[in-house]
Amino acid sequence: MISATAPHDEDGVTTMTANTLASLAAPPLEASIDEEALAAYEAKFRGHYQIWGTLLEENLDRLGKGSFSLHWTDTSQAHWGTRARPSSRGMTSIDINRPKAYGTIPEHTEQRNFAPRGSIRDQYADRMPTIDAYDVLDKKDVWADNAVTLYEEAKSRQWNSTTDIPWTELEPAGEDLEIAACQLATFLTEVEFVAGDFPARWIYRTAPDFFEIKSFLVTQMMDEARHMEVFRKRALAGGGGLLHASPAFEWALKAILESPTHTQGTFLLNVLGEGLVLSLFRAGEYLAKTHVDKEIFRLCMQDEARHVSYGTMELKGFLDAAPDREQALESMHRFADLGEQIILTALSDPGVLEPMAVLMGGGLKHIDKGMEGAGLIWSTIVEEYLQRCDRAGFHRRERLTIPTTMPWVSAS
Amino acid sequence: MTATGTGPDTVITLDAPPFPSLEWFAELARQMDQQHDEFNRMGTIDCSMAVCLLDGGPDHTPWCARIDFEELTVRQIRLISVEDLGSVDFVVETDLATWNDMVANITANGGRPDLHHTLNGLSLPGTPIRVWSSDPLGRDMFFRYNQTLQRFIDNCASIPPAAGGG
Repeated sequence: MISATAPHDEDGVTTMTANTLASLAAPPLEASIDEEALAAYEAKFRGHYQIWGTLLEENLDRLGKGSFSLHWTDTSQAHWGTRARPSSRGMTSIDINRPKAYGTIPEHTEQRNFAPRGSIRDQYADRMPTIDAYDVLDKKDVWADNAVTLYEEAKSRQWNSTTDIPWTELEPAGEDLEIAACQLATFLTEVEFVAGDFPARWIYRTAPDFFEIKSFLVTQMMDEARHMEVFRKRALAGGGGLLHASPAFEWALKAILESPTHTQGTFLLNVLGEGLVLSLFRAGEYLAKTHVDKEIFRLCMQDEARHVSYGTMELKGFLDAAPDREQALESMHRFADLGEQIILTALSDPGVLEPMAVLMGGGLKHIDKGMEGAGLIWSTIVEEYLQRCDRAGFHRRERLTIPTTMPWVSAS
Repeated sequence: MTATGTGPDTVITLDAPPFPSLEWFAELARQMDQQHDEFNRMGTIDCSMAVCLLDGGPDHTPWCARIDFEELTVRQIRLISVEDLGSVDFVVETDLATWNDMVANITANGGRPDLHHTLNGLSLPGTPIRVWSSDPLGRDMFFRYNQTLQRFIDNCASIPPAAGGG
């Protein structure tokens, strides 16, 4: 393909180029891949990737002449001598960001390629490809001052749902309690992976100069994969299995996934959604009827708290760096007016609220009593949400669109 | 060393720190260091926690200790005043009776409290234990490190009972 546009010469370089490019080609396509898409890819490749061919020609020409470039030995524009020193816990991401040459995060980047921040790259700019997908180029749209710390913490506090949960100790509870536990596990299985899919959508768009954020979001995805796994296992481990999906909450999940900006979506997911789930997991001490369930909730709670912390500081970073803070605040308020419906949707969904009440009350017969506990969780969720907003400099108390206490009246 | 009684029923308890005291928490820290592998499996912990017993001091005045966790150890334990509680990441606040009841339950269950006597369970409704912070992000650290904090406190099961509770 590229060789068709490359100049021919007499020493076989063109043939080498063709062979080399053939060996670089993608693996054989599966039959299911659309022919039209392949044709479009080929056309784009021929039209826009000639520099790659030129670079290959140069390199192969050099090889053919038996000469060396050794340009990479020129350290004059590097930070040679700048040494990262490990701390007591090893060489952390915080340690390698300590030297300014490597740890200065740009407010804006034009680097829409994979060249590492801190490498010698500017002189190659006109020969670099542009990754069109990288369109999150401003620090304020993704950065949180606690992200690097949270990334290290996430790596340190990983766990494994296969081996860290004492599955063999799962004790049978009453059937109504097990149905409630399975329904709650179904809901949590349903919601968990939006918290994986949403970061995935934005990791892909975030310029690699903000690799710390991409790395943290990868840990969030791993956390959510583990949560989905552990709640699916919980539903099946008691013999009850997965129960009812929630149409109402599906709309809330869609609203998160399709948020227009990373900051707005992170607010929905990490501050609102994960804040809610964090409180649910915290309430796991009351919801859990066995040590197994308690351990699941406690481990998940730790993970969710990291995500909530990132979301809170990301919102703060966005507002603090906004060129027009008042406009940014108003925009976020408009968004929150809609977004708060996520809390309302979850807490009013019978497939969520009622099993919670059954578990807290100690059985279906005591669901009314359990609703008192559910009301406590409701108030806690809303109050902690408001406190986190305050921490971010986003004061929602005056504009809150949802009740601070559960609008429930016992019929008995 | 504490001696109880004077006759044949005399009981001598070795290394039983009084409660509340910095020594009592130092014993928990010492056990944490001895269980390095277990704490390492749970992950690093970096935060400052205050335990404030509202009636734990002389004449039922507040008794507050600050415990600084760093990586996999306790870096420092010291007494602090009520006025300084705002300087820690989060405060675990309760009364002596609740604390003693929690410790008794942990001890009776061999270092594994029942479902109603965990730090998280006792603090969820805001009473009888209140976990608070001047910074919501600081309070969230109680959740982020909860498993480690619970394990830290669970080690009280191996501290011999001492005069004054605990």
